[in-house]
Amino acid sequence: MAKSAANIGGNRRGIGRWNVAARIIAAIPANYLVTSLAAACLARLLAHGLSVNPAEASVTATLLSFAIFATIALFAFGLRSVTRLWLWLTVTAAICGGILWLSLSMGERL
Amino acid sequence: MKEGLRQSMALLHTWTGLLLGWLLFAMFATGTSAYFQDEITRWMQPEITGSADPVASAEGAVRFLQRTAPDAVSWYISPPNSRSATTQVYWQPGDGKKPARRGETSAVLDQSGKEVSTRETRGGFFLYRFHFDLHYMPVIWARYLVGVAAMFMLVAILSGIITHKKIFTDFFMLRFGKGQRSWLDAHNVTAVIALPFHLMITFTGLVTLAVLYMPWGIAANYAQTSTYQEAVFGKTEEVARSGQPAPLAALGPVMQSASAHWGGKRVGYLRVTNPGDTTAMISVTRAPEGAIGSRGEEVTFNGVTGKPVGQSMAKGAALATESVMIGLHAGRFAEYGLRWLYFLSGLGGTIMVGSGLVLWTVKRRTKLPDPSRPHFGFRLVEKLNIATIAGFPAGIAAYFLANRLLPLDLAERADHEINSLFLTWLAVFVWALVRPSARAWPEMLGLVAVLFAAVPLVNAFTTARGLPASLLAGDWLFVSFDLVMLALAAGFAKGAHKATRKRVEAPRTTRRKPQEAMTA
Amino acid sequence: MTHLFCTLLAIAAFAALALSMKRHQRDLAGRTLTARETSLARAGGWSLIAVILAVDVAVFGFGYALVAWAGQLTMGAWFNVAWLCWKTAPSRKGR
Repeated sequence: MAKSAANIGGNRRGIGRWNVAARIIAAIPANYLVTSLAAACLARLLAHGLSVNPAEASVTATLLSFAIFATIALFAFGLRSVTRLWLWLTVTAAICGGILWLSLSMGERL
Repeated sequence: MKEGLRQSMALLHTWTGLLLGWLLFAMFATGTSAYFQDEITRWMQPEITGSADPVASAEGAVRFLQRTAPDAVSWYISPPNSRSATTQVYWQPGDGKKPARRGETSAVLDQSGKEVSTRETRGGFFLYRFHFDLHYMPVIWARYLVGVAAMFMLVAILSGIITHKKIFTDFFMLRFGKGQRSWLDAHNVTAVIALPFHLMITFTGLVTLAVLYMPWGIAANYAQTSTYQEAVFGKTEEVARSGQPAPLAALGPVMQSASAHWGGKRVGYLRVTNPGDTTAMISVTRAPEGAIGSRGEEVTFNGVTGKPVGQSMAKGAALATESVMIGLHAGRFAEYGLRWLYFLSGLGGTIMVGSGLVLWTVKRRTKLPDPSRPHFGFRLVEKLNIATIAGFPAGIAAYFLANRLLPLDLAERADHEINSLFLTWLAVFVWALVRPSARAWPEMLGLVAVLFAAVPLVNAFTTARGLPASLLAGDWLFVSFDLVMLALAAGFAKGAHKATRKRVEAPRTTRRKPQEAMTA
Repeated sequence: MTHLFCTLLAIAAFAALALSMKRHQRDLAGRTLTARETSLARAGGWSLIAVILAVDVAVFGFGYALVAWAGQLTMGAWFNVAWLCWKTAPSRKGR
């Protein structure tokens, strides 16, 4: 774990290629997937859990999604361990996806 | 492990800033100019002078549209505002046919409703559209590309803040003329001083096209986007014409009534559906300068009686926030004082991106194994830097020059103006490729200075509204435009001068420091 | 007009803040300030920044004022950077 952190810092011999590739994939495509799930999940939760007006709920989720995306992108390069990073992403995606699936199977979209 | 975080954030900052930095430079430059897009258009249509009354102009526009498109589905009328002197109209033809050309269903009118005769140009509007639609490519792909660039920018700003927390206490420390340090300072100072602006402009920029980039929040609650749009903007159902003709209500009282409804704020634009029919409706939207929010309030009137029939619903907190964010980005609410502050902040942002790009090469030059023969990546970045930082401004100057120099009756004149922008940009790129970089820098920066300086000169020779004349006439729009051109020329001339001097001093600063970490 | 007035205040505010920083005192005042003067400069700078916001709110209303305030402070900071840069330029050091 400490090795990967040293690698990303670049103060050993260059940068571990696989390490960086895993982080780039986490930071862009995986990040987009997780952020989309989080935004959709949040929009559902606000609209159905807190009975916010659905348009308001959707816009709140959309506005927040850019902050979420940027934060995950920073974490993708800030976290020391790539394994932990991917674990976090997978767990978040699973939770958001699960809630979204449950919510969609309970109530139709407008 | 704090040092590890700082280093990885520095790495992230470097590469997110570099990869789309050239596009970001062009976006910043055109976005900055777009704060004055109406003024640029007026400069590029020197035949149009004076000002016009909005109500008289709207009524003139109705007379024009009744002659030209009496059976249209709808008319859109933008009467002149505090920044323009003409009325823009366009209409949706009744026969449902797609117009072959842009000009067939739109017109620019004077107060009496006659089409104005001015040189064909897309004016400041082109620069505004390039900011997010780019050119020579499908709009949808351009907008995705621009969105990716904006997100890179946001990540670059945030990682830059984390990396360089210290500079917040150092921001009076700008020093020029000391090699690498001065580029670093120029980058830091432009970034830190206008940091609220950069964060705001980047985030709100993403929000302006949020539905395109992140449709899933809406998709989660709405099976169809149109349902969402109806919920937010109200129903825009098309009512079929009844076929019974009825005269359209006078627009003057309608505009006054709408304006009174908004506490005296001005009318932005009008939409007339089914004109000349008993089912006619007139929707009036508030002018953007009335409030920060970009989603203007709307009042709808019966098109025959002129009585108000409805208004757009009040917005909740989230929609109001979105509206304000988009409004903040576009700055349409800003009067001239604040508009200049926006423009200067945008200019600072352009310098920040440009200096960041240069910094990438400056930091790496001393670490090259052989500085006289840099590797391919380094050369590529250096050439692209010259092509963008000198080439794009050169293109903008050429766009203005083409407006004055191309023959007035040239076919497709507006397109040729735009082509001259890109041809000039291409020419600078080619020049940067064939010349050694150290020579290309001062040469091309000098060229930009000459081109910008030529704009007021050419304006003075080709129109009656040159700098001395407009000064005497108190025509501050033309005076300001010419002065900004001269200021840009001076800035680039100074840059060219510095680049020349650096070349002379260059051999002294090439030291090898391969052991130093590659952080920027 | 308000923008010009507030920008001038912002220049003064940032000049005061620069004065409250040890490294700039010699450049700006020609000597190091006493602890009392330093804290006075800091308090003065921050209160001027608050005053500018108050003026903006009074003239423009809250939302617009925040935008205008940010813009004016930016210009004030820029002016001070330019001034310090000019004052401490290597070509002037010798005098």
